[in-house]
Amino acid sequence: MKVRILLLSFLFFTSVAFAQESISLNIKKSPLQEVFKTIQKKSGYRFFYNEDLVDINKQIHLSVKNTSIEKIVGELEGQTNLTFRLMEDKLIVVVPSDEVQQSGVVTGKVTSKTETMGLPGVNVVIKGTTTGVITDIDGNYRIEVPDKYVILQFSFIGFESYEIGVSGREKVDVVLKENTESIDEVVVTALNIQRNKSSLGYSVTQIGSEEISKAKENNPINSLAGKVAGLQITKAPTGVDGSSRVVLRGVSSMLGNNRPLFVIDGIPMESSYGGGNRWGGTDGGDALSDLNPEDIESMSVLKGAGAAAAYGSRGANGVIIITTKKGKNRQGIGVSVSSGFTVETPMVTPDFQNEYAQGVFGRYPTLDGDPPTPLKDYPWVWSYGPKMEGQTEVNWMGVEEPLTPQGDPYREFFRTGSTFTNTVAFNGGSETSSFRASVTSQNSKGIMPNNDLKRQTINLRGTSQLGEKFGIDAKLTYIRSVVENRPYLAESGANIVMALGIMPRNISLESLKNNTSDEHGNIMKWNTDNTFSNPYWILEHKRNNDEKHRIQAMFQMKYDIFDNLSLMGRTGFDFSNKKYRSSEDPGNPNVEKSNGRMSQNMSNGIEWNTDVLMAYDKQFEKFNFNLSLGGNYRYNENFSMSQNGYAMRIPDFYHISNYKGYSTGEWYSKKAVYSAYLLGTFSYNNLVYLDVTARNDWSSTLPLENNSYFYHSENLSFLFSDAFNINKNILTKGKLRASFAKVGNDTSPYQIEQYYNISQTQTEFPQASIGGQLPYYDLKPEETRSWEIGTNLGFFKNRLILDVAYYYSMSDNQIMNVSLAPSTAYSTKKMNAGKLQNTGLEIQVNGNPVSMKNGFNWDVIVTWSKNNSVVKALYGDIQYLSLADEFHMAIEAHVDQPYGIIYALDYKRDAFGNKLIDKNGFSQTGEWKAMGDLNPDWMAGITNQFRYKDFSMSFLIDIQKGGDIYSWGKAYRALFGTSTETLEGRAEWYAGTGGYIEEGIKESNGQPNDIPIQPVYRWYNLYNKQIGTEWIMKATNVRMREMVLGYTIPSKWLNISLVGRNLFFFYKAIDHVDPESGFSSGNTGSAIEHMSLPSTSSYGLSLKLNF
Amino acid sequence: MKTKNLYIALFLLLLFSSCDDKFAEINKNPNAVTEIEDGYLFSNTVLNTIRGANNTRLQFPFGSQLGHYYVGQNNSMFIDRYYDHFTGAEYKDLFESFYYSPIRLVSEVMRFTKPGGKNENEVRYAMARVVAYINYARLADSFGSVPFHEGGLGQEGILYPKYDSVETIYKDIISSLKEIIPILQNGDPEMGYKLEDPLYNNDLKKWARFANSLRLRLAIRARFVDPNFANQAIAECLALPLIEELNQAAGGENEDSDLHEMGNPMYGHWQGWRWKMSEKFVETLKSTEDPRLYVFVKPNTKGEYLGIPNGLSDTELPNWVWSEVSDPTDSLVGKAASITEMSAAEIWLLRAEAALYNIGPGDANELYRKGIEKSFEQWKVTQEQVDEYLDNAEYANLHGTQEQQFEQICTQLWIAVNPNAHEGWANIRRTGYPKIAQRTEPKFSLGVTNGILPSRLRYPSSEVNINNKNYQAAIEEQGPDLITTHLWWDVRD
Repeated sequence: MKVRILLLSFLFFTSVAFAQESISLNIKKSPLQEVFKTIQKKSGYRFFYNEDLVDINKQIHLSVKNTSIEKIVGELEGQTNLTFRLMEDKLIVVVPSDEVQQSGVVTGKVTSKTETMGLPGVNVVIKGTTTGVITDIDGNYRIEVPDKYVILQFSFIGFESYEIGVSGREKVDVVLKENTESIDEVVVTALNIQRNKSSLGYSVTQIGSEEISKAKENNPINSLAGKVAGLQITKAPTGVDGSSRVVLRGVSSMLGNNRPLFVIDGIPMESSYGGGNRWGGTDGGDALSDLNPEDIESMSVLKGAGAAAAYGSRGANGVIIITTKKGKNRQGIGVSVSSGFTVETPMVTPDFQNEYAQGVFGRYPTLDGDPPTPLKDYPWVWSYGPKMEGQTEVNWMGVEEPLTPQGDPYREFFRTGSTFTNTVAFNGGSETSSFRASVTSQNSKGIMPNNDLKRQTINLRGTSQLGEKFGIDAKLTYIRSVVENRPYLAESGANIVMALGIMPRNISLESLKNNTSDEHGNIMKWNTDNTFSNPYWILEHKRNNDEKHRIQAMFQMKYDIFDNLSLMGRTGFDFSNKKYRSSEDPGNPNVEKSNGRMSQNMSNGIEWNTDVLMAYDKQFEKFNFNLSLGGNYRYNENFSMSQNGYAMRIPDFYHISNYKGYSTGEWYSKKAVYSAYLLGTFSYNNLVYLDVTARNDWSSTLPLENNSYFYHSENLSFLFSDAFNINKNILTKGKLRASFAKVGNDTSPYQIEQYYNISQTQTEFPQASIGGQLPYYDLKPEETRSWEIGTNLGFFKNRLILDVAYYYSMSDNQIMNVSLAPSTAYSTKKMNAGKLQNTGLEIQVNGNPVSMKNGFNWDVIVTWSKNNSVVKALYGDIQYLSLADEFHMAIEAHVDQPYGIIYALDYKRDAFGNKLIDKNGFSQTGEWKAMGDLNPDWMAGITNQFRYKDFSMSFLIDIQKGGDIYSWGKAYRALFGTSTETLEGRAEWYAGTGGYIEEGIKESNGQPNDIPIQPVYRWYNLYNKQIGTEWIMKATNVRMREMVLGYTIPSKWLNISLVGRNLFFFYKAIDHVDPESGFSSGNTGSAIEHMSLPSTSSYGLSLKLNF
Repeated sequence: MKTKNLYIALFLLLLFSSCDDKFAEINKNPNAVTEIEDGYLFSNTVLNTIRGANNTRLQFPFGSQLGHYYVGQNNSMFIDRYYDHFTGAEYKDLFESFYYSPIRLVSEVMRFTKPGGKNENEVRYAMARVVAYINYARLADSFGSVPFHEGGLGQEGILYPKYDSVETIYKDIISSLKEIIPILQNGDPEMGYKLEDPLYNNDLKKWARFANSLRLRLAIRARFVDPNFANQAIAECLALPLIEELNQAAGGENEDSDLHEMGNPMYGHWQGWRWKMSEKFVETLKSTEDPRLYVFVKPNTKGEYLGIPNGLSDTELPNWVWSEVSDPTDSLVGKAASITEMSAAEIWLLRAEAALYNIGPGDANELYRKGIEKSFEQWKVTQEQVDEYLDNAEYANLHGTQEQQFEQICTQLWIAVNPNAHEGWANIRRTGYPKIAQRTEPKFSLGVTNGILPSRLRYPSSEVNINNKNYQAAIEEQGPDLITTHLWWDVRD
């Protein structure tokens, strides 16, 4: 009932009568054509006619005063043999009277400059009616028309719409103009509403299917790297199915999740980073890596809060809207088959020295034990031993062999990875219905020898228009993925790279491979430190696998109550079930006292969203008015059960019954959010657009009295070039935009009460524990306020387009776990604290420098962005917030500094910055201070696309200027003497002619240091004194991110592309590792390298067939 | 427009009426409870105090290396070399493991059971306070001033706890225990923890002995710095029942089990780190012909009992063959090895010290011999060997000057407290015995103390950062936050 009343009020609010216009004319003997021009000048009415009309030059006499247009055309009809039709938009169609009622059929073909064979799926509509058809696969259409003087409208996403009068013809061919170079791009915005980009007051970047599917990334989000200004994507080298760090316009929540919200076909999906930390773990992938690139139609990046405000709390970090493909209206069934094969090889590996063997002080280790083997403790396992000259020594197995360098263990150990993907998609449709079904199978092998992925995806999509007013759209996606042996990361004995990086240069991988376990089943290796294992023992005995089933479903109904009022209902969920198991065999003394362990976990998660949206649309005169009112119910539920067993009984049987000790776990959580929102768009004469959104959320996770929060946004767009009649040949289109938004955020469940956990125990004593987090009983929603201004300028008929945005955002009242002093007995307290400010500039330039008649075309797209984050406040007496730490460094947030400053101990220096060297020739520990910043100074991407007839070629160069990364891997390799830089001074030292001379001045007398030291001590000294300076390096790099070479067989049914990704560096400031080598995709993960897997280059071939 | 707003409001109301009730239901945590019996927390804090990470970390890498029982490998060696760069790591982990485990739990038990608390109970409150005091005393002996009165009270809203000096902590604990002991001694077991006391199974008499022995330990520790205060407290302690027999000792028995909860928690550390016997410890046992040598020390591959000196430098270390250095035996680090917080031997030896200086009754030599006998008994030395030692060994009787006799008592105390190595380090600092020589280059690493045994540990970075004002106030009173700064009771040269 209430809804009904509301509807009526809208109608009342908008119904305004048309004003009558009257015209005065005094024309004596003028050709009809001239008369049309005069009327147009005076009244704005445009006449639409065929130049071949017989009467077009007929002399007319017309003298009227304050007469309506209806009467004027009546007069003209009297003087000619013509019929005048008044259409909307002040359009008058002129038709010969004798042909008026001749209905018939019009056919034709729609093509474009590039799609010369025909453009399928184009909408062809008779202007002023709802009658329309869609072109078939070859671009042909056939439409029945009531008379042969109607106007046909052609529209298709990515092309400028086009109108043409039939003018009596039976065949009308049309060449549509692509608007890749146009400013009139249609993009998908919040709530999946398609909008003309010029009308938006905020920044949106949309990437089409071609860009996504041709790049063939396992994780489709990676194909956006370098293509969207302000979007930072860092793929962590963590094995197949690894997650990526995705940050839009800087980090806004200091300790929270900063990933944008991902919305697939209107249904938001859960997405958190994949895990892994300083002490090991694996990267479990993120939800995005489950998506099948072949099914994606477009990805639309809504950057600022203004764009995303309709998503409320979850839009604070921006939103990435993914639209999947639908079937198209066509004759018969379309089949497309695409296959891709990609190989992957390590890209950046450390440089190893090949001169000195295991040992220290130039000596090979003493022998010890039975059989006698080289000592396995420090410092004997370093590579500071004798020069390898083929002399005979006892190796770690107790066998005599010549000392020789053993090559690059990375190149030897890792295999060539590969990915084989096949998709078959069927699609079809009529004027009222469409379907698309696709099946994809993917098999990947990572560079880690036992790391494999198998994934199958089935995707079904159907739409149907049931009658004139009612339409439905439904989708079902099922994904199954199985990953074997996700690599273990960072500081853990299970991280194979740890061992590869530091093993003595004379030890062969072969010997480790052939000797993994001794007769007691214990791990065999050359050292006693548990942090460095035998890589092959790990491959054989420490395993993990997971299997994930994911179902995404969506059902949507739309009912057009009136022409301009529609009601939409949508419901959909994202469900996943995951089974994870890891096991470690007995034999490793560091694990359960050599007894082995296993753990397995089964979890279910669902996010269910239901939306109701009513949209009302009204145009009067030059005003356009559009209002949507909606509600959303979101429900999340997660459940997991785990089993941990330790102390295995019989070998090779991985079942919980086979473990002496075990513990189990259970976790259940629920969350619900109700929302009501309103979206309004007002425009005037297609010149000024105002968008407003208002939204209120009620979250179950907040205290009842504070659980409601309101946000809003206002966005203004002004097309000044149209308003001021600027010369279109120079400035074709000019737009200014401004946006303001306030959004909020809630928290996770169960944060507002103190809980006691019952402990599982096999002792006779009942036990309970208390969580380390103090609750906050008055938690408030957090709040981000932001504004942005921007301009969009198209020059020279849009052959050069410049898009600039400047933004500001302040996140306040951040909900975070504030660290407490340990002496409170609690580690954190949930609080509203801290302020973080982000400002930034984004520039995108699209140019078309060459477009030749013969079909040669060159496009350039340049994106550039810079973000400055500043921490404006922390909480209470806290001096800083620790975001992450590593050996000898920490990433911290300090007030008035950027988010994510790298702190470490510097060398002791004098006032001029010279290192002060002590009496023995050593550098000394200085201050703990800010030494780096994880934020890049700026990022840029340059894409060049060349097209000539059926050939295309494109490459993307990705640039990061500044930003720092801390490489603990480099520190380890130096300490152990395996890296090339440790060679310096060795020969001199052993020859007695010198050694390593630390750069700096002597503290005793201020003279330049000239005291040689034994090289091993140079690096040991840094480790011992915890000096971090050497390991902080600039992440600046210029990378060939992507190269694609494509050829399409002229008949269009086959396309072949060669794709290369992450190919090489033009420049890289850091040595030994890729600047994108962080071990996690968390907020600060990109700034810490810790014996990461090498980054990879991939080379692929992709084939597409369409029938 | 006003009517429009009204309609929107009506529309929303319709959609979202009654959602508050649902929310309360949805946000009810099914994984944990909001109310708990204090016994559940008490048993956990006791188990944590005896066998939790706080204690195992205290013993290794700190107590056992600084107390010169063991020598560590790899990273733990830095501590043995008198370095101090662990404020963000080992010191932090140690400090936090105290406050986050036993203190968090016991503070909550005290909040429940204290006068006016929701489960007010005099006996339980007394038991909880004893547990709290062991932990605070360990913290004060390691770090110096720590938040004591305001410590562990996050739950009551104290987010920036003030530090209390070691003197305040000691004196408060010593006077509080005076009140507590009679409550335990005369307490009704019905009021105690009948099912939730892993230490003494609700034997309140034993609790009273333990509380009194703890009081004696702390009072003796204070006797050089404040003799008047300490001597009175010592006299009071000696007038009340103390731990005298093995079955009264505070500690935990372990099973030969791979299960975390049942086995010796140090066993896992040992498996991972494989520390070796210290030369100082092995040589002391050898030179006194102490039968406990065979109890504590494993012979090396050549059948010798060989320790390695603590704190060797990188240039010296390569001259040692690690596998030829003796390992500790299973009695110390095996799966079934027991954990001792306070042994009967320790208390007999403290009584000997009191007698030697005429602060307490009895004959110092008799008490000294009793201490040795109890220690032998604890380590299951055969009666034959016990008799042999007590009858014939040079060190079975006190001899020489008072100072020499004191050194003998201290040396026996050092041997007897093992594996509570942290107590050994504390006694070395308090008494100067056994003597730990200042280290010299190039054989030894001098660390940051110029080769002198560290006096304390440094505060963790988390306290320095978050509780900065109180931290500053504490070091202003106590002295710089360095490992060379002496604690209140550490006044003897």
